[in-house]
Amino acid sequence: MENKKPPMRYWNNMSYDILLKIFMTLNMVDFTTVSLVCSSWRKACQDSVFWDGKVFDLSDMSLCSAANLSFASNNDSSGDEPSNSTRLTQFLKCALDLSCGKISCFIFNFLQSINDDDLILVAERTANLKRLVLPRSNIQLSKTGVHKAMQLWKGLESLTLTDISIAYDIVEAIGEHCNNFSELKVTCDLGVNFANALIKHLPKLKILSLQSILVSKNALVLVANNLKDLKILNVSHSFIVGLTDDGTNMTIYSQHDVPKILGNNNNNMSGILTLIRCEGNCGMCLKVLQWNICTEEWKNTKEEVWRDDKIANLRF
Amino acid sequence: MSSSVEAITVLSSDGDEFKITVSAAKLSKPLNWMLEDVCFSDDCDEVPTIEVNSKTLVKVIEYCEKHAPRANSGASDSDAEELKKWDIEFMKMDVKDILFHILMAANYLHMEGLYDLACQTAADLMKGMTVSQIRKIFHIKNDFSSEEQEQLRRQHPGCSFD
Repeated sequence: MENKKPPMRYWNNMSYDILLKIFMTLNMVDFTTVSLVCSSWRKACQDSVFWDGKVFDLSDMSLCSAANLSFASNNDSSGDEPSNSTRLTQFLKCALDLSCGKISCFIFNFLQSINDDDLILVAERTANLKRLVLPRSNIQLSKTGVHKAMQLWKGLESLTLTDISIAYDIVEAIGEHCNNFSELKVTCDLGVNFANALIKHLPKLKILSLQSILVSKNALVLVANNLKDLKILNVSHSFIVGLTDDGTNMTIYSQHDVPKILGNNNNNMSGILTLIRCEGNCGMCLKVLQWNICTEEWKNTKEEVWRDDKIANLRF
Repeated sequence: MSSSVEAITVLSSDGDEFKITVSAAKLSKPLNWMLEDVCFSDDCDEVPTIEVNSKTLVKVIEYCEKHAPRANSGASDSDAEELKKWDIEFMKMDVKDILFHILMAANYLHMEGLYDLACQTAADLMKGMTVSQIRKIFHIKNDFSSEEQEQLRRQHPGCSFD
């Protein structure tokens, strides 16, 4: 009954389709680890089924698990333990090197802190990227870094923008390098200055989501009036503040007032612009109100605001 | 084929004979075809060969016999629960020798349930492991050429390949 012949095939030449099926269920960290086991496994990990037009999503990954990467942590001989962010960078590099530049959407982890090197590292490996979701705090990015990355992302069409401190540079770089850019979700406040930056650098914007954020009334009027190609404007649950019409009082506008605000002196509303808003005074509206009147709360983008959107393309 | 036949005899690739009930054989499309194609009446001498070795075929038949009643008639939730537990016990097997061949056999015999189960078992063995642990579990030799290894090391300085 014993098989006397030497075994012909073992795990390092397991049938390719079976490997694909097994690897399909692994998370990104385990997936990246198996890619380093042997050459046939590595080849399977590079199959387009995993990458072609796919989303590279770090949003559900615990950063600890990424930083605790088994494949990066047993290198004791080197002495110093690499820092968590170094490990995360190494993981990104390892994983994206398998993709052959084929992924179309990259979602950073909400809490991930990134610098120029991280952004450029990702950009260099995702030449066909169409959509990018930035993490909450990306304050370590510089103007040069942002420009360098956007130069590599010429095909970028859609972005979730989170941090006002770098927002101007990003919008400028996109205006300069990404000709097909058309969708923007903003999760930081929209004031008049930023609205003017959008009008100046992204005049061809088609879709803009300002869902659940603080928006100045004047900024709202500016973008609706001046972004001539704008087709969809989402202001659901937004906290809109501005002077009353007689110019005497600051007031908080409800969702019901938005058409009126935009309709008064708007030459776009009658045309192609579709306004997305909620019923007003819903649970989310109240939450947003609370965030904006508690001084400590409003500074930080909320993960649920970052993830959610009434525009399907912009949520995940 | 005669409907009175309840079990059929098949040969493994090692030439050993195995009995499998007709209802269990129906879990596999190719085996089902064999049932339709080959004469299994008592006076027929022909015994079909299945390209699966004896050690593996024992396990495959064990799985089929266990799952056949449920596949043929549906089952209650408590049965499903029990079957799940049985599957977990069943999958505790030698990774290098048996799991590998079970995967190949389940794929070749088009047995979706066993194939999914074996793939999941293999994936679970990889989770949270290091490269070297995975190589050990699956008995894989590091076959990257020294150039490839050098390149991987250069590109990913923090990663361990040993």
